[in-house]
Amino acid sequence: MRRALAIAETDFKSMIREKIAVFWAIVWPALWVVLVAFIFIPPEVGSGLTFVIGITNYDKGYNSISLGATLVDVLRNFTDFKVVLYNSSEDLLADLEKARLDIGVVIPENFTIETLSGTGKLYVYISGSDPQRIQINRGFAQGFFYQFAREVALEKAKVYTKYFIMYSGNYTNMVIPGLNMSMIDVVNRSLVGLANPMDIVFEEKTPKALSDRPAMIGWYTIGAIGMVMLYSGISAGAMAVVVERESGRLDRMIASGVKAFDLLVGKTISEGLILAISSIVVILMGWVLNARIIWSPLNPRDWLVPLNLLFVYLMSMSIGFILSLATRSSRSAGTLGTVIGLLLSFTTGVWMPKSFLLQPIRAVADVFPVTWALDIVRAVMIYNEEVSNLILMQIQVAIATATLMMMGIAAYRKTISRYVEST
Amino acid sequence: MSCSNFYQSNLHQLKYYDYLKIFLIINLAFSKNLIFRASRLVVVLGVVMDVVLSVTNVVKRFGDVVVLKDISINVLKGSITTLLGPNGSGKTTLMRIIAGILKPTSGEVVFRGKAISYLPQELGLFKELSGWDNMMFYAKLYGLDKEYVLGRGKELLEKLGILSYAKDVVGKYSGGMAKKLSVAIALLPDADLYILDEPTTALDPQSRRAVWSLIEDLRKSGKAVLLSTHYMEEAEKLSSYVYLMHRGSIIAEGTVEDLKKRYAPRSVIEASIHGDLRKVVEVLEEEKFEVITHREVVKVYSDNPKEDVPKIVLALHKNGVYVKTLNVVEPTLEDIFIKLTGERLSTE
Repeated sequence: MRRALAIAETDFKSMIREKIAVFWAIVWPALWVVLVAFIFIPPEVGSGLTFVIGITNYDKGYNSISLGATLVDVLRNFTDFKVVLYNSSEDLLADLEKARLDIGVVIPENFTIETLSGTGKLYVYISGSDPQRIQINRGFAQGFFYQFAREVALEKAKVYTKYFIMYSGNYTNMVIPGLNMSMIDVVNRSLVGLANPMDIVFEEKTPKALSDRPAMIGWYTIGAIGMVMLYSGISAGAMAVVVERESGRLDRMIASGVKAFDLLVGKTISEGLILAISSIVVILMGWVLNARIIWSPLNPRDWLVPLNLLFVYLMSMSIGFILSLATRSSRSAGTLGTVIGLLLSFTTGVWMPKSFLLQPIRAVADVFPVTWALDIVRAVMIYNEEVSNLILMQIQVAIATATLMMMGIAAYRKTISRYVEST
Repeated sequence: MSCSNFYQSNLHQLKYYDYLKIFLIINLAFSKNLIFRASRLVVVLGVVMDVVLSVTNVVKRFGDVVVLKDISINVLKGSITTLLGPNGSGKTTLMRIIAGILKPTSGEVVFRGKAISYLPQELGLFKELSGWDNMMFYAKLYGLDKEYVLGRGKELLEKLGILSYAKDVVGKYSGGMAKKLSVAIALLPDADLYILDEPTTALDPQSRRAVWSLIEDLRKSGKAVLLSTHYMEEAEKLSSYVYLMHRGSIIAEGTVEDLKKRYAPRSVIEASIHGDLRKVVEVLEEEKFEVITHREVVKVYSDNPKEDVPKIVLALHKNGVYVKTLNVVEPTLEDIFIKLTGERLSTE
């Protein structure tokens, strides 16, 4: 064990002084958390989008009624809109083309009269300057104005009912045989039905991972730890022997009495220390950026977090040992480890939520044990899950880790014998 | 007990060898197998004669390629044993087998001692760490205490002229400095056998002499050194015993003097003269010398230069030939190697 600890200490010192290794292990994942918090999930997420809407109102109204002015008031009072008034439609369209507006509305001068007597016309322009926003702008504007049109129709129904009562005399209260309703009830319900033929109930169901901004940042914070553990662990496993062989240190170590077990343990400890520092830095970064992170050393359940992060690391390292069978130099081992690590991060629900993945890839993610372990970490740290709900998955993770480690150690021994026995 | 591969077990040590000796002698007496008896006899003799390392009939194959063919060598306490041969002769493979890194395909390696220190051709250093950190790492592997490392380590670094750079990062060292650090690390442990694979390659002549001095000190303190080198001067100056290797076999062995006696071509007496060359040749041929000429230089082959030099000078003097200079060129190990193999030992 003395030799294993000497290898661990020296390897750790060596890595911590290598700027590239520090960048990939600590700076890079921390950077991802910052990117997530400020760019992919900006602070306005959760408070909804704000649309800048320009309006030119030519409507002259009818008697004291002006539906154009009513529309402008409604839009002004709607928190999702920032209203800018224009005197001419030319100015409005010019600003729309300059991408100063998301939506432009031109209300014609006979809008009130035409709406009250039949069908009013309204011109709505959607800004196409941002290809990602155009769909949102169009959808939002359509939704809003259809709803507005329905509200106008309901108002008209009320007006027509009033006039019907005023001019229909005795027929108003006449009960219609079969329906057992008065004439006025039938007319009123029919007009309301024309204005609003269906009562559609909309309800939003957001995936648990993306329930709110702190949860989102927390989710991606754990994702960043998982990502760095995957690519660093796999690279470290793939390079553990070959880098010592290439530098000539392996021969010296063997001659001094170092055994394969010492090298395995030493390398695992040194890389584990680096990744432990990396995890702490990333979690602190997430915490500073308002991620939801629940962890207390006094709560026994919360120790599932370091345990499962250890499992993630050991599984990644074992995958690296298996990959080392396919590599011949430290350069190829490092490159392959990083590529496979990043690829797995993006396709197995480690970095990106599984709900974002295509169905066939999601199936792979569902059986990837590293994702299981990270799901437990997330369940504890972000969703405050009860231990009883995690026991089954925890057993699965432990079995998967043990299996992968056995495979990894067998591959490691094979790699050692291959390098030692080469000329 | 033989050295075995590191991923199967650690190097075995022969402790209580007095008991072993009794066991082997009994074994020897009752065995009917001649080869077994012969190999045990070598081991018994080794124990008696302070043989630190005994390699017997070692063969090493990599696939179909036979890299070592039936190699047998011994290394004694207080001696410097040199493996001399060109690149590809199998020196490094043999050293790696002795160090316990490789398993021999067949044959036996017996090491009688506590520890082996091995200097590979590659530096085997952490470039991101300082010279001291590197030294401390290997010291920990050998279980050396800090006090010892501070004393012996400083002494070695000082003698090699790199003590003032010990706290610098190795990545900033020149090739020569890194090599010297690597040598210092190899000489640091209190080992019974030091295996040094080309310890002076990439060093300037002054540093080379400093390394020679340290190796010589090891020998004087009773340690065993197994050395491989390209340099004739190094081999001739340091070696107590030399094994000449060629294409995986040992083609000759002995002390430098023995080898020269047994295999060396004749010495050459080179005389630069002022006078008629044809007359000189005639005079010397009358005296039964084998002579060739090149410009103003006459080369005379001699089996005994001590006796022949006065004869040549006298004969030329009698015939009025003025001798400007006269050199005796002794044969080198390189000459012996060329004679035995028809190939040069080194391209340097």
